[in-house]
Amino acid sequence: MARVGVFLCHCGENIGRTVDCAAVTAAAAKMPGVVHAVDYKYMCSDPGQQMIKQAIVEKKLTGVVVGACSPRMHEPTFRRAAAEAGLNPFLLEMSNLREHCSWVHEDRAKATEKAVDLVRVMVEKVKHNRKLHSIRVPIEPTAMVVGGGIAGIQAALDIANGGKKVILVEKSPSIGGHMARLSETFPTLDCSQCILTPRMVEVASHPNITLMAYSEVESVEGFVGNFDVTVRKKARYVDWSKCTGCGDCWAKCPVKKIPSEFDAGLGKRTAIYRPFPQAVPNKPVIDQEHCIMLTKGKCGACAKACQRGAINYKDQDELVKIKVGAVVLATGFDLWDHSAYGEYGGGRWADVIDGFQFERLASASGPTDGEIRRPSDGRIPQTVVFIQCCGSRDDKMGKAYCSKICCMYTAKHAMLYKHKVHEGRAVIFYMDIRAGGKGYEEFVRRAIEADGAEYVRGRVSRIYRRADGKLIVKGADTLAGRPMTVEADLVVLADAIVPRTGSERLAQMFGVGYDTDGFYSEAHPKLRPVETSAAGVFLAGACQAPKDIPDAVSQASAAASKVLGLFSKPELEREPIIARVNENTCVHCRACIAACPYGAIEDFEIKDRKGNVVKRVARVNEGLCQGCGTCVAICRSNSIDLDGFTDEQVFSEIVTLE
Amino acid sequence: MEMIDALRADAAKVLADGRAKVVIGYQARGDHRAPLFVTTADRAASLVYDDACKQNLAVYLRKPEVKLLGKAAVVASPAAMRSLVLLMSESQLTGDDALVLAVGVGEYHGVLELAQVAPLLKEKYAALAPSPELLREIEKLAAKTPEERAAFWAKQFAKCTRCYACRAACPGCYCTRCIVEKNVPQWISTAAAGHGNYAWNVIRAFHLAGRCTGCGACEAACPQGIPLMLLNVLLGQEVEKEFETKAGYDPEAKPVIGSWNPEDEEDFIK
Ligand SMILES: Cc1cc2nc3c(=O)[nH]c(=O)nc-3n(C[C@H](O)[C@H](O)[C@H](O)COP(=O)(O)OP(=O)(O)OC[C@H]3O[C@@H](n4cnc5c(N)ncnc54)[C@H](O)[C@@H]3O)c2cc1C
Ligand code: SF4
Ligand code: SF4
Ligand code: SF4
Ligand code: SF4
Repeated sequence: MARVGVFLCHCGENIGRTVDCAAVTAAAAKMPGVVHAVDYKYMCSDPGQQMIKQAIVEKKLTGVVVGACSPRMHEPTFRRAAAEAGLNPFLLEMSNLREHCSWVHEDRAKATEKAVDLVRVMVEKVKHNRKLHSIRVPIEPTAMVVGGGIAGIQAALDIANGGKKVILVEKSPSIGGHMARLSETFPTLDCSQCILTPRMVEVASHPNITLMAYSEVESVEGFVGNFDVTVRKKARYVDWSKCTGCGDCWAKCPVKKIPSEFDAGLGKRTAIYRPFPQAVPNKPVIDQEHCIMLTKGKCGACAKACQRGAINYKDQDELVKIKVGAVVLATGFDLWDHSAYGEYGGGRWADVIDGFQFERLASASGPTDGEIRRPSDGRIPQTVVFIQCCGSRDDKMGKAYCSKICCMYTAKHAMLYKHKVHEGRAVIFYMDIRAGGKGYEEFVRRAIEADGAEYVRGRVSRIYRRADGKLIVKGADTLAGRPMTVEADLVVLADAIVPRTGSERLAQMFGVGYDTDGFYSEAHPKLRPVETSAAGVFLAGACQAPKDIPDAVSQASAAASKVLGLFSKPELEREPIIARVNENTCVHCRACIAACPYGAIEDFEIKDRKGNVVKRVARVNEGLCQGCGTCVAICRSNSIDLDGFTDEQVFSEIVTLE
Repeated sequence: MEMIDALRADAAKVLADGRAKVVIGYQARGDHRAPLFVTTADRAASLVYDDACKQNLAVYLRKPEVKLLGKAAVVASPAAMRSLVLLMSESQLTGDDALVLAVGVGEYHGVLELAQVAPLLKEKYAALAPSPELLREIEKLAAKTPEERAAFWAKQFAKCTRCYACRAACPGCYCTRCIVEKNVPQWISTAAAGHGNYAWNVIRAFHLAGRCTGCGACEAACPQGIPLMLLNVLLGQEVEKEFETKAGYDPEAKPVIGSWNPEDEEDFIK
């Protein structure tokens, strides 16, 4: 006979305000099989848990229903308490009287009635519960970090310094990400390369880090603790084990006019190239799209120049399978393409540039050696207009969100410009100045007060190019309430921060969610900001939302600590919510095998004692099954059941509502 | 040579050669056509084939008692051949489980290995279409309001006596324990009335959506005259529209409802 205990929580006022808990308790006490029913202000508190434990022992309970908040919140708490009192934790169920009832209803009488139903449903379910036992799976204590920007670098170093192995997968020929392209960094104006490159070198030389540059994730199988990731090592056409990075090859390459990605198109590179002098690894790759040898079959200048015989035009992509226990996604961001804004020239004018182009112009290692010269004619601009929120906070043409970092880098740009062109004018059109951060407001004030940046509150409606090359910026000063026109030599647009192209595909491979803009979704916006809904996959940096360097680095370290926490035990305990095939009724139609999103169902041959196959069936691999229930819904003969959510359990829940 | 003579000759030959132990074909019983299991070459002359042969003989290949007779050669129309391909795609038949005496439209294609069936179908019978009358019925039904349609089907399903002759006739209904027979818990009432009838008929149709090969055997078997093909073809058209596929042409096909890939269009989620 079932002996069920019902424990109702007021959740302070949260449930008690709308639901008459005493009435629900009284109703529960009368439900068939219930031998004990109480209510209490905070069931999750220590005294509350004690009540449950005591009743389990004293009333010899065979099942427990806790009517409280969402099981996502406290199911582990209560199941732990049950286990401590000697009851199998899976004989405890929760009715969600908060999110599913008190928080969404106002009518007290009706809410109370619904709460009684919610409790009754779980009482019926728990009577059909069976004891289940956690599944233990071994953990592969190697992490994979995808993306080698500052976030990925930091995460990799922290995990490696914590004593675990790391595979760092970077799609471009060098790590460093966008930070490597920055001139000086707010809020302290230290040189970006000077603080970044030592870390890049540390990555390359760290004994626990394997750097896979010029590589991309091809496919992912498995689950937390045991991911099987296939990585595509792209053909480099240069044998890096022979190459010393001497540069004889690119000096001889005849294709010299390719716009450099690193210099945001302002500089040029050759077809065999390393993206920048401080690149890590400091070895070149051949860009197959532009190489004459690879496209037309003749040239071979680099091979002739290379004294080490490192050039290999026959190089091919290579697929490598790697087993890892945890993954950090750190794929960063890109800038929104402002050519959508016809009124700002639609990307037609060389002197309307984006933030990265300005960074390269201001950078000592940039195409102008750090002199601010405008792209069209190389003249030093005397008036520069900066336009903030270009594509941000504009849900019609661009993005609805605030890109968060542009206020700061625009202030920095104005400052850097004024430091280099003392008599020049820096005019900034802004909507608001968002300078929340340590030392940030002071930084912006410095730009205004010490460096004389002219901040104009208002939007720019149009930019056009006069015959003499001047860019005429028409806007409004909304504080003064008058239209405003500035004759500028250079315009810098603070384009919105968007996720990397291709980031959605990566998310799909890892089972990570993303929002409508393509930024990766964290598991909980407040309490689990670095986890994702895919167990064992964590987030770092601007791939989750626009971030500056300190934020990207903090999140990276947080992700690393999550990984190290996961790796601190040799095994992982998993909820035993897994599917089971009834091999008597399965007809091996293989529908479930095709449907399982985790590849968890396999063909299985049932053999007699002599080894003859008597039947073929589907069988679930417990290690791989995630308990999603897809197969249960697909099986026509209804031969699959999900432990913890069996047909009988669900059926009894439904029937009791009739 | 007449088509039927060629069929009889082939049947006799495969039995004599030992390529098959049994030929599953049709015999005449007055106006009625019944299945015939021929195990010796001398009885092949009793085989018949004409438009009155409504039953889909592919259904027998999965029956344990038929399997005991040994390898079968089955007489199959194009729709029945599609059923064979469906069974192959669902791992119910493999390469040399059976031979096919392939009866086409107005011609006879001889003895085929299972592997030859799909290529023949694709070459000659890719455009098998339901009858014009049936298509007209579907149009009429489509013109009704949802309420009228529901009422139409409620009236039809009310006639069902739950004999399950439709299920027994269908090669796609090969489960050894049909979901209606699951009784712990019993999701679908087995009483031949109301809700249970509706549930059964809808489930039967859904389980065949994207799998029905249009042979019409179920409707022919139904003693109550329920227009099952109307429902089957309607769902088949939906599947063809949404998934761009037709059952029974590709032995490697993945189940439409149960398979997916990350590139699937998902307008409702992003
Ligand atoms: C104009 C401008 C100026 C800025 N100035 C400052 C400043 O002064 N101070 C400051 O704090 N912040 C500044 N920032 C912000 C700073 O650039 C970011 O905070 C930082 O770069 C975020 O680092 P990340 O590692 O998250 O991303 P990223 O730098 O974008 O790095 C991502 C890395 O992942 C790689 N990757 C992408 N996709 C894949 C894939 N599928 N597989 C493998 N690898 C992949 C990329 O190649 C790249 O190396 C500025 C930003 C801009 C636009
Ligand atoms: S869907 Fe059902 S019948 Fe088909 S193989 Fe899977 S368990 Fe077996
Ligand atoms: S519940 Fe079924 S479909 Fe889901 S992961 Fe497990 S086996 Fe696969
Ligand atoms: S054959 Fe007709 S009467 Fe019999 S179960 Fe099927 S639909 Fe109902
Ligand atoms: S549902 Fe009817 S028409 Fe379709 S394959 Fe089965 S028996 Fe043939």
